[in-house]
Amino acid sequence: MNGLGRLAVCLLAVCCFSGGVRGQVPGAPKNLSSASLEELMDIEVTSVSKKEQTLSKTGAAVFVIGQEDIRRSGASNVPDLLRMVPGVQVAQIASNQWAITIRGFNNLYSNKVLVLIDGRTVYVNSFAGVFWDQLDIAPENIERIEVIRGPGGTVWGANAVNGVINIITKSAADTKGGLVTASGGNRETDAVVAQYGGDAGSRGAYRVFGKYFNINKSTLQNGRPASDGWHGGGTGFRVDLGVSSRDTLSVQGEYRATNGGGETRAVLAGPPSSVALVNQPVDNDSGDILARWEHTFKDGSSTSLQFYDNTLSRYESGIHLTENSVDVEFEHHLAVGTRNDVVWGLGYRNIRGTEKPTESFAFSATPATRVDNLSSAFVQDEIRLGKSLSLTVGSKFEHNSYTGFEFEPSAQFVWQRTAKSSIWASASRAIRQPDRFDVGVNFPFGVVPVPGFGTGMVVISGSPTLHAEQLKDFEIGYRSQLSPRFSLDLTTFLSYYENLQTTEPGTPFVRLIGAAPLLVIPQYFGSKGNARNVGTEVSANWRITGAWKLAGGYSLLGMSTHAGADSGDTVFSNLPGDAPRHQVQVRSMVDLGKKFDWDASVKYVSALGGQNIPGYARVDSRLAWHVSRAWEFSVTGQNLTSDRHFEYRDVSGLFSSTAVTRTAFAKVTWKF
Amino acid sequence: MRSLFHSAILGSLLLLAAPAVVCPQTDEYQVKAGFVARFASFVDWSPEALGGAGVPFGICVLGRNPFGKALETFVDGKNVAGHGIQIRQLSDVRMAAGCEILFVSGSERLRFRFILDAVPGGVFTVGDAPDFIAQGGVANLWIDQGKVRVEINADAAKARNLKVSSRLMMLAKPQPAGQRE
Repeated sequence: MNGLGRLAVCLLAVCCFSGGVRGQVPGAPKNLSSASLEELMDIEVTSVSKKEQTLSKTGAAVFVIGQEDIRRSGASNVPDLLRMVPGVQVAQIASNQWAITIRGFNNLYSNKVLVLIDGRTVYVNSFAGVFWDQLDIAPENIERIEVIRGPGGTVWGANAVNGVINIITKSAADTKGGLVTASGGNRETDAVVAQYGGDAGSRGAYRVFGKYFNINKSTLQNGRPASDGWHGGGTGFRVDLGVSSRDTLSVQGEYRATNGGGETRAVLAGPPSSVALVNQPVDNDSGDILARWEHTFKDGSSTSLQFYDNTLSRYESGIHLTENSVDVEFEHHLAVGTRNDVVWGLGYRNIRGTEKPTESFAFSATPATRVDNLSSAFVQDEIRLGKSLSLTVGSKFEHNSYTGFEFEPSAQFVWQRTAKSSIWASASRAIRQPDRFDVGVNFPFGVVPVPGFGTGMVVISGSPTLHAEQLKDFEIGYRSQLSPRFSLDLTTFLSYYENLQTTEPGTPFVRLIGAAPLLVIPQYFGSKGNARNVGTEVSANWRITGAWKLAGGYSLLGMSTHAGADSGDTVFSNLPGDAPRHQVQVRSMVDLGKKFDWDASVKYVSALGGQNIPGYARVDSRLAWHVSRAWEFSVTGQNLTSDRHFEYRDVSGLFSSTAVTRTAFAKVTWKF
Repeated sequence: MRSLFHSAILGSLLLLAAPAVVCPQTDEYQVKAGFVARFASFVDWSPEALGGAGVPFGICVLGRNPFGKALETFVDGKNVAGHGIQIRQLSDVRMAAGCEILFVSGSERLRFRFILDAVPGGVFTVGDAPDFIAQGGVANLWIDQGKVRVEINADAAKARNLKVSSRLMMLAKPQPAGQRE
């Protein structure tokens, strides 16, 4: 049906069912509630998903990447999917490295965002960051990605400071049958996924899958070929069972191995001290297993009990890092009286991490093996104050091995103005607890000329006395389905940070290496940084016709950082230079008849002043042909308007960025 | 690059200016609520099934209610063979006594088999999940090119002693296997 025809039908529907204009269309019912079954069958409907229903009641800035967004983005990895979320900064450093954050403080080792897959925390305790190369989930298996901007500490705990990225994979009941995808292109994403799912007995479903990919190396800033090519594979399963009319059980697990490379700066002690760029392999093995049991009581309340085990072994930058986490969480959701909707929970996590230098230049951590425990409890109560007003208050209470007891309270007001629009406001406190390296790292960072002595080696060391970084955050938001075809979401925030990590100078000393003196210029981590961020984020969806949808987003971020008066950190105030002030994105999704989709997106990211990265626009496009129910064929182009650009540059020179290049690939999907 | 930036800005302005022209559609669950309510008149209920005078005709929702208040608007002031209609929200299938029509929410999907085994005979079960029919449900609502369709499991209806009208059987349309994903 062409656009005009569709419009005419819609206008007809308005006449039919608005109730205001009666009897103008012969045979039409006066309003929906008296429509016959046959008439109901003629009404065109929109599917507002569960997520959108719950979204309208949330007192936080939430963006959900749904299945249509995933499929039509053409993205083959999680970082590229996150580019569509306003307020999220995604900068690719190399083929296998990304700097990803929400609302500023971006770095390869960004540590203020919590990332979960099906409720399993995937940040690495040693540095509180995420190895994004290990988030290798076939896009076909992602149900949705919920991105919560702003603190989520009350429910999620330490490290959910600037936001939470919650990746939810599909239930095995939704992936029955076979799936094979294969893609290949000029540089990236030569990849194969093979999966099969079916009934597990008569009361559940399972899936098993395997995957392999190979990504070629890019080029360095000076045009030389980089060493960031990588390849890897994995295998996994998921089982979802109905165990009784009140109980469900989900078990899932995955193992993956990747091998790649990357250029690292090595500081050689000497003397004389010197700096060299070395290629180091990045070899990673990781596995996880998770089980969740959910029970619904007769009164409608429900509990869930979840257990997982994460194991990681990684060689990178001349070290061997291992980490094993065991985590148990219990949650109970119940109604108390007629006004209170309460969720409370308990959690315990045990993390055992080791760090062993495999090269003489590498950093070390003290102690080399560390076992940490994290115990937590939280309670949150959504109180209905009136028909359309609710207040949610709660706090997390945690005990960690570094700073002891911490609490993370929050309060959110939601005013449901109408069925389709709401206004909310929130105030919250969140913390980032220090990590293992913050406390115990010993890191040869660089070499500086020292008059009269030749050179000195700068060594950054952890401090056991660090405080938890703290955020006090205030937000207001507006969310409205302005019409059945247009929705708008606005958020403005004001965030005050204290105790942010700084690097403080120590007193130089001389160490003898054999008989030769080495001047060591020590620096220690401190907690003397402050910041104030303000910003606003807008996202909108506009379904222009049944066949054409536009989605857009804009984010503005103003950061100001300053180290305390007693701090000797001279570069802390440069942090805003790592964040783009403006990000704008428009995505267009067009159905070309029933057989073809054509999707395109433009994203503009303003300059990173501190890194000498000019503003850039990224244009991606995808054309898909649904040959039959079983077969789909698509071609995707990324970064179409530029041969190569850089998205992130580490000014300290610790790691080398490589170019993000124009990429094209084709993908075939077979379902059986 | 500059012109791209301009088009990006223009695009976002367009977005903000958009709501002037709209083409309303109806929420899926408004229409599905209509189906659930209308099914009452497509089954030949025996007087025994409906109970004595004054016993309400029960339309029940088990699990998370996706309809909001939409079911109420469809049954307002209506009756089935002289029985007033009562809408009930259930949290357990064992509360289903007195329900003539039972909508089993998608939130219960993993438990369909247990629930459908436990539903008393004579109850017209409705769902809107791809495997609802396969698990033994009577009617399944699905969406075909933006319009709600119903499929009927004649065997399940027969097993439950439900006499489904031939008119409903003619309107029914099975969901293609390829859409049951």
